[in-house]
Amino acid sequence: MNSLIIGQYVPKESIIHQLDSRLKISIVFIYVIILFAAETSLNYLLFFILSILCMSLTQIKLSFIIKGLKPVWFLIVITFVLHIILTREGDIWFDIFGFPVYKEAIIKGFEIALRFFLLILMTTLLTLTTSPIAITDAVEELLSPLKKVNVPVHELALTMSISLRFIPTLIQEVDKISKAQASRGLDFRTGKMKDRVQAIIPLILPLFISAFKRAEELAFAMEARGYRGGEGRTKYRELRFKNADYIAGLSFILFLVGFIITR
Amino acid sequence: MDITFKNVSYIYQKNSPFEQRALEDINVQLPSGSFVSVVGHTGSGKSTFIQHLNGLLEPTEGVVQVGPYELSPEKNKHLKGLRKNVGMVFQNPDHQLFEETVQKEMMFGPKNFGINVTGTELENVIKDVGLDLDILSRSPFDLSGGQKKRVAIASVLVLKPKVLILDEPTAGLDPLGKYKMMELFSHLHKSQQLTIILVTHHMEDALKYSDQMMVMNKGKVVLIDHPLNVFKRKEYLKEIGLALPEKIELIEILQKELNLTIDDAGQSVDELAKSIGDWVKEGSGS
Repeated sequence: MNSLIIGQYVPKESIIHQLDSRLKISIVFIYVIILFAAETSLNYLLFFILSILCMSLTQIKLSFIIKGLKPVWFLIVITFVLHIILTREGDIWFDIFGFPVYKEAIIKGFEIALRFFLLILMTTLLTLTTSPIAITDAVEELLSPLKKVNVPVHELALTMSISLRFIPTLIQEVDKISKAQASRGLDFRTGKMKDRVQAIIPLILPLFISAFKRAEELAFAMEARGYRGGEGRTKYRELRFKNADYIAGLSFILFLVGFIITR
Repeated sequence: MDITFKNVSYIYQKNSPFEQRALEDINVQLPSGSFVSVVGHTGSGKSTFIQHLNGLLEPTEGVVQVGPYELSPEKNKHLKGLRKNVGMVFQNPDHQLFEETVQKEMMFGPKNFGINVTGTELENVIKDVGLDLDILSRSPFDLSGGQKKRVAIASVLVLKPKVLILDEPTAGLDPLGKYKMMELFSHLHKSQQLTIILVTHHMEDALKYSDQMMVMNKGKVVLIDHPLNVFKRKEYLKEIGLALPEKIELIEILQKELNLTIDDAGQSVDELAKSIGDWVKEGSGS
């Protein structure tokens, strides 16, 4: 759990952290879409520079991000290798032990791996610098036009924020449960596969029971404080664009223009 | 089993922005057969400390020795053997109850460790923790909070550990239940020479039952001594956010306000009441 940082939030005071979460989500959204429209190497260079720039502005240690993306490296390498093996057209560049490697394959594989890396890096930066609450607030606002066609946007956002809120709690709970059971001799790290699968039951059962209990208590607590859904509800944290947001937005538009020119 | 901590430090989430030092250079020796209270403010490292005793956490630095078992920062084997001898009762019984019946729940540990438990032994443990025998066939989820707690304690006692670690075992019990539970631990300690490590916020319990008291503050062991000596450091204890037992507080107030000449010497509440009564009768309290 400690090794993967995707979805984790690291509180800091950097410029990126303070940007409006709606802006950040929109930028990442557009970024991800046009990343797949990138063609020239200049395109990729632009993307690369933007991502590195964002990363350095977050004030989060580079080593932490790189280490956190370690499990992802594995996926990237696999896609690269698969491309080299499966692409069977174009000019042959060289042979490895009698296995022909195509020039196209290397280029394509490299391109896909780079895309994959940039995609994960940028989305990770989003969650690293934006608290889950800010993300759900932004999602609610961005989706609010859908209310007109009777999509329960507020309820969806609420469900999302509650589930995000309880992830750390449940992780803590799993930790406690597994420790309580390990103290009574439960061993789920070694032994036969069958035993290890069976060892999950003493972990899952208490977790489920307490999760249901928690859900019920939460519902009671919300009702006791007069929760009645999103109708007429005001916000404690209002999202508002500041100067930095306009600058960031403009810079991203410049990036888009640059992208179209170099394409 | 003797317990020794040698230069033990523990760091949570090492090498991440969330890195947090929970234990710092702990050096303690707890002899076999002692009753140790671990006290300290929330976040002082009590839980981290006790989790080292049965290998749930392994030290980031230093060595923990429990009887013949040694825990070091390197990969540790024999954890199962260690856990068989060191029983741990957690604060919240909901974190461990999962079986269909109380009987099965109690047999969970023995099954894992390969211990044979006879029917009479099982019944004795149930009686010891103050439950009725008919509870064995009931579902642990239908029980009250106090009963769940007792079942959880029973499910550890049935393993006949040599060291028993209790993390606030009486939280959530009613006053009488609390008293009975503490008396049970005290009885086990005396009759079976069981080593008991008790994490508690109840200074009264620490004073009454333990023969060693370990005070923790900010990841360090700041005092370790007999409870009577620990509670002499009143000012220091208050400074690190710990309360005094009511009994000692009473003596302190009487000494200050009425020049009481009786000192705290580990007497029971009844004995204290009697001697204060005598002191008043003699007319010194005017």
